[in-house]
Amino acid sequence: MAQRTFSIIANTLLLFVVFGPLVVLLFYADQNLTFTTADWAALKFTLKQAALSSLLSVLLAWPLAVALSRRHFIGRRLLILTLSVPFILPVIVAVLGLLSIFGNSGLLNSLLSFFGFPVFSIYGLTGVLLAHIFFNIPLATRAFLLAIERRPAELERVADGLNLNFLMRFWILDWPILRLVAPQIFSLIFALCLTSFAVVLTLGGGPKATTLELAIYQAFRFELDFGRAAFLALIQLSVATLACCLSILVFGLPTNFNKGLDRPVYQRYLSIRSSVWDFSVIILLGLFLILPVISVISEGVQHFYLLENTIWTPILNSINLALCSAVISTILALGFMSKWGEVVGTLSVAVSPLIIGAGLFLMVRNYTNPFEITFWVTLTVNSIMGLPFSIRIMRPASDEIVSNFKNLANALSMGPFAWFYWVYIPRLKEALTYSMGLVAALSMGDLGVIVLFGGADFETLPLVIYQLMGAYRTEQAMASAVILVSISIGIFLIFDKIGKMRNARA
Amino acid sequence: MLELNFSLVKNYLRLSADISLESERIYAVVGPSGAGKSTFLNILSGFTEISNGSIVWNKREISGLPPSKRNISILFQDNNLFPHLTVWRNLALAVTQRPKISNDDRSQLRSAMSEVGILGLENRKPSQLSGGQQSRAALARVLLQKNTILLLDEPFAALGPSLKDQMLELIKKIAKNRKLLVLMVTHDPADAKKIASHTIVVKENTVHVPIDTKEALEPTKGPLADYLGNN
Amino acid sequence: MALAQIPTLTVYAPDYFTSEWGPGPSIESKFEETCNCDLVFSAGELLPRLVLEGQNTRADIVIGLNTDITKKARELGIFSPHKQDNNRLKLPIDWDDEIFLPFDWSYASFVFDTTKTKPPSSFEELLNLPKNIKIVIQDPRSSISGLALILWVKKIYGDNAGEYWQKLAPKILTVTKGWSEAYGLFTDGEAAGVLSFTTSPAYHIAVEEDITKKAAIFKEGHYPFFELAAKVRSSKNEELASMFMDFILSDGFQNLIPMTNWSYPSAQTKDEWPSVFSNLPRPKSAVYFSENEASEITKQAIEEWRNALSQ
Repeated sequence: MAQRTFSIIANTLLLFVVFGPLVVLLFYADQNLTFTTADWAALKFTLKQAALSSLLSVLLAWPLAVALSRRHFIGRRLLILTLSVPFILPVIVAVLGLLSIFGNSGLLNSLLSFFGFPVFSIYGLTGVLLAHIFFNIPLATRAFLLAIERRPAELERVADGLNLNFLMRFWILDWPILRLVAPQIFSLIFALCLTSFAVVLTLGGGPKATTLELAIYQAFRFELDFGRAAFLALIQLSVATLACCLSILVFGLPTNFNKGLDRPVYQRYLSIRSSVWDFSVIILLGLFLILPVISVISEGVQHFYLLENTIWTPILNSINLALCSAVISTILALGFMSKWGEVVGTLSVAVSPLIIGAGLFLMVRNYTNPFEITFWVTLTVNSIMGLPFSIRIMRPASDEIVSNFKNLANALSMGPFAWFYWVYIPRLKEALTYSMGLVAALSMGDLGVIVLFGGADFETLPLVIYQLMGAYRTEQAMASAVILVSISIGIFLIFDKIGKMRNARA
Repeated sequence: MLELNFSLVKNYLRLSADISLESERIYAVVGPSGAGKSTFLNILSGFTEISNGSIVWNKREISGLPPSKRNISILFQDNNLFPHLTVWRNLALAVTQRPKISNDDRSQLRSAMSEVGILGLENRKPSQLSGGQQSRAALARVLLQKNTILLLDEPFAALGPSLKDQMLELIKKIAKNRKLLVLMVTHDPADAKKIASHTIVVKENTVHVPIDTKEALEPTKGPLADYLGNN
Repeated sequence: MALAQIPTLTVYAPDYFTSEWGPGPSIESKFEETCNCDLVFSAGELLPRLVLEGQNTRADIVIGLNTDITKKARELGIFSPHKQDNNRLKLPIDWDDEIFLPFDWSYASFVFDTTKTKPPSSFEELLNLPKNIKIVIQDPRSSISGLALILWVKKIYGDNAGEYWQKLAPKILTVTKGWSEAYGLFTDGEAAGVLSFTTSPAYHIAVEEDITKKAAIFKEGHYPFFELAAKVRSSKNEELASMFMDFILSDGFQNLIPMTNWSYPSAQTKDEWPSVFSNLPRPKSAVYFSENEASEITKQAIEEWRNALSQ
């Protein structure tokens, strides 16, 4: 009951903070509801790249997750951790890293031309998709991996014992997980790619690759037509909502696993063919994800000497912001622990941050000077952006706790507070800390709405990186990016450790 | 006296009953798998709502009440204890939800632990207990709730034969001391014969009137002849 | 430091300006030497902020505006006259705007890596560069430098602009959101040339001692690029704001510009520039659309560009 109340509060808060600005902006100026042919073309392209990116991410992440779950090798944990890095990087840094491998003068093309093969150009839809899957495969892989690890061991044993062929195995073992996880992941990635801006523009190759976000940016910044910007943002959001609903319709209701008896995972007999497949997948996708990161890191580390002491304040600011948004996002996520809760939480990512920033600005300006509260606004937006990830991480754990222990709690007539205190939160600890770690890492690399509200009073690390790039100092920017990544990973690891501490349960 | 007169029709669950149960008695609940034994217990304890009818305990209608208000305790097949809490805390939760445990509570807890024979195991976590000890702890927890009706849903299924016998003896003793009405779902006719004076057969979506255990479990003639195996 | 109540001058500026690598910090110290005030920068998107803040804006001065929004800003009546003598400006064109005061300027131009190719000396020569030499440009819809290029080509080619874009399209590696991304691609070696400014090489020469990056000077003339400052009409610090506007054209301010903002100071002749700037190759002439001409032609020019590159 109490959780339901909290749910309502959390949902209302979210709607207010995310959709409120949209509405405010829409009614602020004259309604300009024009939708030109150029906008239409932009919408079509936006949909196309977002849909393809999501589909590819999910399709590629699945074999990787399966391979990782089946193979245990030295460095596996490290690999899984490193796979998350692309996600944490500021966009511009990640793009440069990608280009250093896949660009015209990148590693791949150098190798190709060395061996006499024709050079391949990443610019165009290919580049956009490549970058998007670079960012999002780790996310999808993690989600699948978590779900696979929750699958009762008995199921696999039954399947092995029955000597099922590939299709039947898939139907019994894999499809339930896909149904469980894929719709939400697909929707999340779709929403993320929908508002993707710098990536599409830089790697798209030209105006054929124009998204709605550009039109919003233009309307906002150049034409000062806020009504039109909000209108386009509304369309963007509607599209995301439709995609969400569609994917749930296609995949249907998520199934719930009965709790296995927690017998330990046994060493399964796996054929040589599957070994080859698994390791190929891991190596290929692993290289794809890691090489650009290594490139960025190696370049950055070379220029460490360029870093100045003044970087400390932005570092501390960023850490501060990251930790706060991690906590808020995780706590807020407790109000979205249901199927539809996850959908709503995901949609918050589909609203252009420009709009949220401007709208919040308007909502707040009669009460206080928005620039005094840059930190709070950025915190709000970062927490909202982290929400879908928190939900995705915590929901499976939450569902499991409820299905396993709610009856017992009811039999003991445990009230809501007792339930939270004795059972729910203690058992959710690992998921909670994992969520905090992830959101903190994400928040470190996120520009948020600082771009609108300005950073003179509150500089974060990503902002510093952009400032450096704007001042010809690319190398220093790369060095700062390495600091950013290190700190993000550090925070993530610390939270991970905390989650595993004092874990003496059965 | 527990008077049951209800029916349940929901999705694939179907069950109907029209029986009376005496207090201070132990009933075995038997029947083929899928007939509805667990559903029956769920209905009694309040985890499943009936479609229509009534459940009356000592002249009081309880069918609309939540589980906590029904004076019924239930022991599940598993998940009777919170794995991450100590035995002490698990038991304490039956008595108070607050972190602080009063002296009165303390003595209650100790006496329950003594009654089932697990004194000294307070600070262990369930995974550090043997199967038998876990069952006893769960039983202690249930006793602390001080309800007069006890439902058992095959809680000793995973124990070896001698442990199971010990637990059954314990149940019999406690039921007599505390004057409980006990319903025990079991698949083993020997269990039923051991402690239950009467047996409720659940078959073909119906909860039949309780009959004498010996008769019910007659392998060749009783209502469960098929279930028990014809000779 | 006296604890007396000193007035605050609030200056809105873009992020690159206020960052420690931009001109902001030096300008702030220099101004505070004589103004007996506290200069406070506030960074962020300039015009949207001002519009959203409306009458309640804290800004006294806005610095870092570009010519693409002057018309709109003028219509909104946000700014008041700068009251400076436009004759003090040393720009390649005549400046008669009473409201917007240029504080620095440069020319749009392509910058090339001379280790890969010799910079072309005209638009036509640009077309004839070897096939493997590519350039990166910015999107005119999201970048002012990108917009400057569109207008430049339009000015030179007029009705044939579309045709030129079609011919140039194969040489364009990609179109980025802003200058930072494009220049990042250039310095990383992804492209041999990038749309930037004639003054960009000064940074590489002065700071990195790298002389391989050179601007391509086109004989047709270049499109100048001005950065502007203006006084906010609703400012409560009239006196201080005026003082700042005076300060902008003074040597104190102007001397700081080249080595912090990598552009030509607006009120100094080339003899007064640092040598690294005066030694840079410069266009012979400027080609320019006036504010009204630009606003009329922009939509069409962008459309032609978009069409040509979308083939």
